[in-house]
Parts: sequence; C-alpha cells; structure tokens
Amino acid sequence: MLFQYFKLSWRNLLKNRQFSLLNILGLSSGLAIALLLLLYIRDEKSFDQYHENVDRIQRICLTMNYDGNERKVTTAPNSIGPAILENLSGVKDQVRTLNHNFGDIAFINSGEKQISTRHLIWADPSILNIFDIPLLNGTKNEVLSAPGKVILSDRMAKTIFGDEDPVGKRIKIDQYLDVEITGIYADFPQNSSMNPEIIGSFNTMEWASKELVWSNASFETFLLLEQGTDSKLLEQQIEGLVARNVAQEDRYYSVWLQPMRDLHLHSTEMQFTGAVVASKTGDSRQINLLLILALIILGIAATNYMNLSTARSLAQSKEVGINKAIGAHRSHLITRYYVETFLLVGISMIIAALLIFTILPFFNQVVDKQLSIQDVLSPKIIISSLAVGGVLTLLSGLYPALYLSGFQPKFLLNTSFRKQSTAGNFRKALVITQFSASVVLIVGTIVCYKQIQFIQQKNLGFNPEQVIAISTAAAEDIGQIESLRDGFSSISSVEAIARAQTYPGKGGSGRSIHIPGYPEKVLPVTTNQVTPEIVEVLDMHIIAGQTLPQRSHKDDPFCSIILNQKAVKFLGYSPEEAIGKEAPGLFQKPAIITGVVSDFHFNSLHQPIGAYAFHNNFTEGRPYMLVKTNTSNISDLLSQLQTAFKKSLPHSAFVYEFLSQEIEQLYAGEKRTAKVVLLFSILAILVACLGLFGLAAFTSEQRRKEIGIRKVLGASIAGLVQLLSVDFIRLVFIAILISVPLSWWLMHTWLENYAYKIELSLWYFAAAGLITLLIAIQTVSFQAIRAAISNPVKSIRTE
Amino acid sequence: MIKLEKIYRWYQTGSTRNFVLRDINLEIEEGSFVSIMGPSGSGKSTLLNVIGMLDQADEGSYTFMDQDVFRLKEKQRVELYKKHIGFVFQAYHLIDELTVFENIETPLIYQGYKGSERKSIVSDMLDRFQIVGKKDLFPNQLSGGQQQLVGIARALAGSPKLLLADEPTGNLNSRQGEEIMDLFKKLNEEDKVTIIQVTHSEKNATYGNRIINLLDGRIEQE
Repeated sequence: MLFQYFKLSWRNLLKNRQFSLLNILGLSSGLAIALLLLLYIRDEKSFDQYHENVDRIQRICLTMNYDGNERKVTTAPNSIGPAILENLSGVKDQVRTLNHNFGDIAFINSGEKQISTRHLIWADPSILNIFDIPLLNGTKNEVLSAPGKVILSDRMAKTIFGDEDPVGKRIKIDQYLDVEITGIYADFPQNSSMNPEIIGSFNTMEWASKELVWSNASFETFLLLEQGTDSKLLEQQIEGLVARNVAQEDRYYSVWLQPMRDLHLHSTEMQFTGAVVASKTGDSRQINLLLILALIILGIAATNYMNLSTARSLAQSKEVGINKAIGAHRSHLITRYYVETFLLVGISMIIAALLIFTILPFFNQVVDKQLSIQDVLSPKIIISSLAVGGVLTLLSGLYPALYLSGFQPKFLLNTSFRKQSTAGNFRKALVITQFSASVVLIVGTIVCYKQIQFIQQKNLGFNPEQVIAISTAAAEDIGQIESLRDGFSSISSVEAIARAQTYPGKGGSGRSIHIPGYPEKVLPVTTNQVTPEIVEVLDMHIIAGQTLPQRSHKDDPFCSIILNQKAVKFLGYSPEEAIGKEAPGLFQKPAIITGVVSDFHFNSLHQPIGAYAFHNNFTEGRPYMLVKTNTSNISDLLSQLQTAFKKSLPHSAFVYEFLSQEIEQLYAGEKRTAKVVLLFSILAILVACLGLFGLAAFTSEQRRKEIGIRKVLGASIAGLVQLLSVDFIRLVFIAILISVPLSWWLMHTWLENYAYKIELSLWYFAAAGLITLLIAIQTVSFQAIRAAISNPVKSIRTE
Repeated sequence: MIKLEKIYRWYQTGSTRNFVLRDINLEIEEGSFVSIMGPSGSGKSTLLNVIGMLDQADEGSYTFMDQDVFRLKEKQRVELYKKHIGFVFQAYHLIDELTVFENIETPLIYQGYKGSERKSIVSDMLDRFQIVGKKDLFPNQLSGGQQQLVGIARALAGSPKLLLADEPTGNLNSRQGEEIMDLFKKLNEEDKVTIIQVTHSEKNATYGNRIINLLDGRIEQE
C-alpha cells in the first residue's frame, strides 16, 4: 500500500509542477539554512570537549571588586595553583600558564629566519597531563622539565624549519631569550579555545616562577580534579585558603571555578589575558539566537508547505471524496498525505544537501569558521539532519493530513462542487505569522546595521585614523629604538611619533586610585605608560594643564600622569583644580597630575567610559611605536616604514597594526551577527513570498470563474487586480501591526547590551513594513494580473 | 435489503428548515433494479447519499441487510458499505494520477486484498469489460464512455451486492449511454447485483424493474 501511495504522490508532484517547485524551493532552502545553523551550533558546542579530562578540568577565575564595580578575569596569582595542590584534597594536578608579554607579539629568531607570533605561552609541565596535547616528538616528562625548554606545534615547526627535524635546535625569543626545542606537538584542533604555537617551560620565566605571590593575577590556571570532587565545595575551600594567606584589606578579589565545558560559550563577560584568547570565545546568547532563527526558518518552511497544500484543497477534496467512496478509512488518507509530505521533504533534503555543499564556503566566510564537507557528513550531523527532516515531515504533514482527510465524500454526487474554500482562517493566520517573522527580521537587520554604523561613527574622543602601531618589542637595546625613531621622523608623511605600552582598544594595566584621605573609596583605572607625544599622535583633547614631561630618571621621587575627566571627577576635582595634585593609590611613588583630557572610548562601546591614566612611571615597557601619518598612499608609506625598521632593527620582524582596524575588531561579533541576521531576513522573506506567491496563484485559479464573469460584466483589469490583491495585502498589514511592538521589544532588549546606543526611531519600523508590503504586493499582483488579463470566455467555459 | 422509514433530511437556514427529504418510506428487495427520477432539486442525490451511507438523515431509520445503519459507528459503517456497496458517478470520478489498472485496484487495497489476489481480480475485470489494452492508460487518455466503464469496473471489483449509480450516462453520448445501460441490465440479471440509479432519462429508467419518482423531497408515486 505504501508503494501505491509513493507512486500516487510522485505523479501528483509531477502533475502540479508549480506547486511542487514552490514547495521544494521553500523546504530545501529552509532545511539548508537550518542545517547549516545546526552545524555551526554543534561546532561551537564542541569546543574543548575533545580533552579526555574535560569534565574534571576547572579554570580558576577571579572576580575583582572595586567599590561596587566588578570585573571578572580568567587569570589568577601564581601562588594559588600550587597552594591548592598542596593544601586541598580532591585536586590531582594544576597548571599555570602565562601569555608571553601578556599576549603581545613575540619575536622568534632562528638563524636568518624571523617570525612573530602572539601564541607563545609559558606553562608548567603538567599541561601535557591535564590537556590532550599529543607529542609527535619528545617525551612527556622531559620536554618541559627545565628552564629554557620549549616545544613547538607541528605547524610552527614547519614554518620555522620546513622539513628539518627541529628537536635539539635553539631559537631566540625577543632577542634575549635563548631556548632549546625539545619536542613537537600536534596542532591544536580548530575547536580548541587554547591555541599556543609555542609552549615554553614555566620556570624559564624567573620572575613568574621563583617568587609566589597572591597579588599579581597574570596566570591562567587550570585544575585537574580527582574523580568525584565537588567543585562547589572546593570553591569554598579555596576561598578559605585565600583568606588564610591574604590579609583582609589586600583581598580585592574572590576566587571561583569555571568548568572547562563552559569555557567557550560562557565567558563573554570576562577579561582575557591568558592562553585562552577573547577572539576565540563564543557566546551562548548568540547560539540561542541562532537556534531560534533556525527554528523560525524551519517554521516558515513548514508553514509554507501547509499553506500551499491546503490551498490546493479543492483539487484534493475530490480525490479524498473518491477514495472514501470506494472504501478508504481516514487513516488510509492520513498515511497517503504523510507519504506525500515525506516524499517532498525527502527531495528537499537532497537538494538542501547540495545547497549546503555549494554555499558552505560562503557561509564559512560569514560566520568566520572553517566547516568542511567532512563535518557535514559526520554521523551525528546526518542523524540530526534526518531527525530535522522527520520533525519537519511530521509537522508540515500534520495539517494537510488531518484537514484534507476530513473531507466528506457526499458532495461527489452533486452536480457541482461547493465553491468556497475552507480553512481560510488557518491559512490567513499562517501568512500573518510568516510575514510577522519577516518584518521582525528586517527590523533586526536595520537596527543591527544602524547600531554598528553608530559605533563606528561615534566620536571616540580621539582619532585612530592614520595611526599605525609598530611593535618594537624585539629591539635589542635602546639605541635601536632611538635610531628607529629618527628613521621614522625623517619620513615626510610622518607627523608625530609616540612610544606606548598599549593603545586604546587594546586594554592596558589595571590599577586603582582612591579619593584623597579615603583609601577604601577606590576606582579602577586603566593605565598606559607613554611618551609625551601621545596627545598629539592620538589627537586627544586637553582640557586643562599639558602633556607629560619627558621622563627623567628611574629614581625620581614622583612620576607624572594625565587623567581623563572620569578619573578627575572621582577624585573630586575640577580639571583646572586637578593640575599639580596627586592621584593617590596609583603607584608606590606619588603620581602628579600634569594634564586632563576629555573622556574617550578606550574600550568598546559595550562598556561605559572608565577612568584612564597615561603615565611616565618606569613600571611597564613600551613595546609600541605609534606613528601618526598624513598620507593617502599607505602602501608607499608602509614600505618606507619597513625600510627604516629593517635598518634599525635588522633582526626583528616588521609587525604593524592600524589602530582604526584594531578598533573595528572590537565589533567583529556584532558585524558577524548583523551579517547572519541579514542573510536570514532575505531568506525568510524569500520563503514567505514563495508561500504568498503560491497562495495567490491558487486563489486566482479558484476564482477564475468569478473573474471571468466580472470581466464579462465590464470590470477593468486594474479593478480585478485590486480585488484579488486586497485580501492578501490586508494580511500583510496585520502582520506589520503585530510585528512592530514585538520587534521594538526585541531590539530594545538587544540594545541594552550597549552603553552607547541608537534610539529606536519610527522609520526603522516604517521601512521594514514598507519593504515587506512592497515585496508582498509585487508577489501577489503578479498572479492577480495574470488572472485578470486571461480570456474570460475560456475561464467561464471550463466550468 | 434496504428499508427506509420516515426519513427526513433538512438544511437549517436561519430559523427556517429547508426540507430536502420528507417522510421517505422505501423498501428495496435484493436483486431489483430501481430508477429514481425527478426534476433537479427534488432530492434524488441526497436520497442516494443516504442509501450509500455517505450522508445521514436528520430523522428516521435505515436498515441495510438487517443492520441499523444510523446506529452504527463511523468505522463500522465504512466497513459495511465498502464490503457491499459500489458507486458509479456521473462525472466518473476516477483518480487522475492513477492508471486504469490502479484505479480498479484501489478499492481492493482498502478492502485488504493481497497483491496477487488484487492482480487476478483486476485482470478479470479488465477482461470482462474488454479494456485490457487500456490498463496502463491514465483517465484523461480515455473517452467518456471508456472512463465510465472503468468507473463501473472499479465499483464492481470488490463484488458488491448493491451498485449505486448517479446519472451514470449523464455525460455520455447516446450510443455510449446505451452500452452502459445494457451492461447494467446484464449485471442485474446475470450477476444478481442490486442496482439503484438516479436518472433524468425516461428511456434509461425503463431498463430497470421499478421507478421511484421524487418531487420536492417526497416520493410521488411508483
């Protein structure tokens, strides 16, 4: 019997080509997109899960408290890991990792080869026991056992040494560190949060390994728990441990544990300075958003199918009637329509698979992933695809099967069919739902893009345009840097040069100031060690005072700082009053305010502006040379800069960044989301229009006779088009009415993420509505016009 | 075989009832060939629907082969008519997407015959109506008369005791119509199939052995 149904369904599909095509188009694009999303989500969820110990690994995180402000960081003091291992039970092992230069570029020299990388970490040897890092060469217990030993990833080894065996060879790091290569490890998989290219033994960094302290939280630390250890209990024990070792007044942080499983998707609020870098972090909110989008797209596709199927009910009702008259039970007919749905979904699945293979590269580009055909063909994905197909079949077949099978056969004996189309309200509701979703998506797209535009055009308080940051971390001595500065100055298009520890958009050192006389009233301050030219290079606005003086000597009794308005206000001064005053708490030696600049956005616009200080104390290095230029011929300028660089620092790689691009990077996530939402909006509207198109076609067909009669009676074509379109357009109107408050609420919630955001203006909604309406009118009137210009003699006669 | 008592059927429009059938009392013996006649709107089709169990009456009782039809559950009713009743329609109502063979086969599928049984029954039917050569054609490749032959073959495939025909020749030319009526007569006389047909044609009515005239939902005379 099933075979009969397949045969029947197949012939049905061939016979109603337009209908089948619309359905397959809608279903397959819906499926393709939904499956791609599932692929994406699966990949995001697979992060770090490949470690055998994943369920027993916990990261030690800190929450820093400053006067009601909270900051969560992924790094901890170097004493805490060893102390836990020594004093607490239930912990099998611990590993501390330190990002070389806190994540800044490391320069590697091997013979004549110069390479730069940001992926160099120093780690306890236990890193190889806790994580799955298979060694291709070398023995686990030895490769990191002593100072001056490093292991390379396979990729890095090939980059530096090509086909030669690197084990036993030596490389130079930042010109001063001479280390031996003791092993090679397999490259970290793409879905690993951590991705070091070089791992060096922890005790190579003497300052970090010799003295154990409880204050400098620079070390990303992981614990490997014993089987069955309660992490909540352990957390409390760690708190106790910290309390025993750190005096109450110095304890500015609390410690908590984050399971390895949560690392990738639940770390969005944290600040990263460890081996796990922020740019690789996912966002569970984004995953949820995409999941909802996938469901909406599938829903729209299923809705389409139901819509088109029931629109054909008139033709179907005859078949149902006949079958019932010759003895079919309702269950026979339900099966029959499910078979048809199954067949359509099946065909659509095949086409969806082909679609996926075609658009995978493009999709990868949009979502910034490297998904491959192999990923698509993995058993898990195939099984879940089949499950999605199954659910889609059940869902979209439900209504046709139940509704169509309910037809009574008695009208077969009447000379003419009843001409009214039933289930109209249900179909109307479906159309309204589809278009509401479309409008919401369009509003989402507009708001997303507007917000990004707003961010990019917002006055940052400084000017990052035409500023290039060049890393001088690999300079061998101060002479090289001075020669480099001279070399740069002689380039005509260079306007100003400053040396800096860091630059806006890239963080800085976290310190704090307190109100004079009230040591407990503290405010976190981001600090940046710079030369006086910084004000000129970044085009900052000085409100009072002047820039820093040239720094004199390490042993000077005080240092100078420039504060922003926010910091000065906290101290209780007006900008003018502040000049010459001290900012307490910043350094061990007094910090004298020499200038005040207006607030500027040194972080992303997600966060409100905090306190910031430029200073000239000798606490940090200044590995960047910031060069302000005034040329539009960038490539020419870069080659000039490089020539000068090579002359002064012959053993170092030339690494540069454009500040404006670095700042754009802060919004990469938003841009990606906006692109994805745009893609979906287009698809949703496309699929919704397919449905409307089909519906309009069938309605026109049903009303052919009516149209014919009206035409004979003298109706104009315009009048007829209006008659046929107005019902649908009304539905789209209702959809717009429903979706406006919905999308307002959704977008309002989304914008809450930003400290600085656009106002939701009415025209976003008006534009979305108008776009939807125009597309809908276009779709419907195409059918309506076709029906209206057809020859009435023909349509009346066929009856 | 069939016993209708005090059958009423009406449609409610607003507060008024429009009667389609009023007080129908009718008994039909097994083996008879009955023609129901009457002008348009007199209730012929409704009466046929009620007899064929596709429609229910609002009042009255209907006994078919000793079973009280209106008291049966939907499922039992379907079982009853699918076993004993075959339908022939004025507009043939073949399934467009199925071939001649498959059209005739469909009711057998619903009655649960096995594949091999179905095949032999359908082949029998094709033989009997001399349409073997047409078995792989689709309905739209056949003339009206041929389609109606297939319709009848389909109705008879499950060897029903009762054949209900709704103006079976209404869409046919006179020659084709005669052939169909000859066939009906033969079925009735040789195969003892009870036939009830609705017809407008006096001539067709004479093929049967009993004529029932309907007017405004009532049986006028016999």
